[in-house]
Amino acid sequence: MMAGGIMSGGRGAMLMLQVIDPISPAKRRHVLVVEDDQVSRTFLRISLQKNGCTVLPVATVAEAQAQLTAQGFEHFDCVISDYWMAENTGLDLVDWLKTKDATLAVIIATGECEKALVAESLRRGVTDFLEKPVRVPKLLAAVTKAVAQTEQHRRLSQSATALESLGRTQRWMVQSGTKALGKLSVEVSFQPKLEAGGDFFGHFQISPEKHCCLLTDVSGHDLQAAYISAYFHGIFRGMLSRSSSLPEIFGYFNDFLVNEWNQAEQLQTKNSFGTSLAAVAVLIDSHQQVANVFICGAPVPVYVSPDGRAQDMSENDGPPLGWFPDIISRSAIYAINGGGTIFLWTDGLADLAIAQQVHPFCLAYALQRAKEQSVRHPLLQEANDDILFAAIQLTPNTLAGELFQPLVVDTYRGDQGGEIDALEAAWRRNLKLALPELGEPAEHDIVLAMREAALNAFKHGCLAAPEKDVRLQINYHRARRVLQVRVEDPGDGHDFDCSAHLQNPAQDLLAAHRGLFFIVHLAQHVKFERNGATIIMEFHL
Amino acid sequence: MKTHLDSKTGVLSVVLDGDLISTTAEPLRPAINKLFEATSGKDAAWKLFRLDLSRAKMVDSVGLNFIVNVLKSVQQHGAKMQIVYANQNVHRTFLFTRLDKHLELLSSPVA
Repeated sequence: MMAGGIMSGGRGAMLMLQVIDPISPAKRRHVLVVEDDQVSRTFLRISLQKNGCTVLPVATVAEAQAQLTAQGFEHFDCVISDYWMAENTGLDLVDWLKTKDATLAVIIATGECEKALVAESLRRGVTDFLEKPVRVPKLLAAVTKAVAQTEQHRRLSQSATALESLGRTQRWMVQSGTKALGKLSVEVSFQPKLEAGGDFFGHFQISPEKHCCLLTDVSGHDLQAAYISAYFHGIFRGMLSRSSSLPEIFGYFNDFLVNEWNQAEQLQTKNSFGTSLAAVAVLIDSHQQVANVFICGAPVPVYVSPDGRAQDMSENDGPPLGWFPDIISRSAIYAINGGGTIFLWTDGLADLAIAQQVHPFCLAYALQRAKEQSVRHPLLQEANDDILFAAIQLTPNTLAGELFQPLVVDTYRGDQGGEIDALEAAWRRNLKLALPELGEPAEHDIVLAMREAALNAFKHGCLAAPEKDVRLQINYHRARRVLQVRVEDPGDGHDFDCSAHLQNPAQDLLAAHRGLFFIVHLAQHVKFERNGATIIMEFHL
Repeated sequence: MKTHLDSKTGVLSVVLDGDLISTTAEPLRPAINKLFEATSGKDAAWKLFRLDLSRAKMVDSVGLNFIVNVLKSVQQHGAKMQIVYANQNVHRTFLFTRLDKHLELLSSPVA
């Protein structure tokens, strides 16, 4: 190590060069020195060269800009610039660099380290300050710090670029929007939390009459999750094209996760939880009019018939792939006579819906409407995960708005009639979210009719028995602007002539069956099925 | 629920705090019955019963049944009944159920 030295403020200098910790050639740093005073420039050049740096000294900002442009910004690891120069200041160079390569760190050297100047420089992105006369140890420390910052910023920039690229690939694979599946179609809405994540949706044509849709969600929403999800889609496509069954494909990937991936991951990261993949596949046979559903850990899909009745396509979802050596899937074959819609979604939607105390369908509808208007829905700020929602239209040549879309599908215990005020509040929340333009009179009439139908179901259909269920559903038909409410109970329906009763006006001051009178007057159209055990009300908005 | 008997004008008033619906109407029945019993003597005669629903935004079928039962009691008492409302949805409910044929509806500026 040589003795220390100083550089004066460009008004005469005494050079005492110093080697602190020589940098190996492999780590040789390229430093651009911008200094209009020749003595100072020489001092900086020699000091840095003695300590293993490759230095390019220039006298003006214009020269610096020319060299950076000619040699490329990535050629340099940091810039040291004098503040006061004949034609420009060092901050002019900083401002210019920010527009060209914001990753390259800049150190400003000045004899006038005023607080205001320091604050302004830091605000404009300067990495460090050197007060003249410059001392070599401080010079080298500042260069080391600046080079490290440049490296870090360049790594982050590369990661961000890679992430953006991956995100673009994922969005291309998921393909938000409407796509044709032969005569059928699928509408996908994807709202990633970050640039890339673990939610994927794919559809595969097996034959002109057979299609398969696959929705996956890997634990976590990072690059690894995206990689695993995409990997499964590739395997799924390959095995499906070779006539493998859904249990075979799911079983194969479960084996991979349990026996290979998670064991390797646990060895490398000590992550005892491992990676899990929730997936649901729907195999649609348009000719046979059936849908085969295979679920591992994903939310249970819902089938909505053309007349608007929603049904879960399985009793529950089972665990995801990657947890147990044997897959515990839930599968079902479902008749899809006459068309309808199958809805699939990932748990990011369900989680946000729970947090907002609304139904996932209602939230999906609101998010989709905002996306159609090229608006990011404010509720997405609250999301902690990716959100993916898909609607498979089984009715040929039909778009989403041309069928009833469920907003709320709820099942209540028969003894929940006493909670009717809380239920009403929940219906109002959902209606306000999905149809903010509804208006108070319409909302009042809809909610009051729902209240009457639900109370009727609790009291007469279920006899307040907890083991019986009331099923309530709110649907919306966008094309017709019709809101449909279905209320079903397990009872036998009316024990009186409903139509005759309803013809009799309320002026008789009867104190019974008035709820039905409310229903038929508040809704524009009412249909009673199963002798009134199912009430279907329609409101024209 | 607030009650007031104006013996000079012969008006018995009841002001409800909010909606008249299934969850609020049931507890009102015994309170109203008790009120009628307490005010049915010669010294406390009233000729008009005024039910103030100006704070209500909804009246459901159970609430309406409550009103019908009260109306019958009022008629047995030989008196008339008025309902004060502020919300237009509440007003519409009384119109489509034709309760306006049996009692007087008064619009209130109080929301």
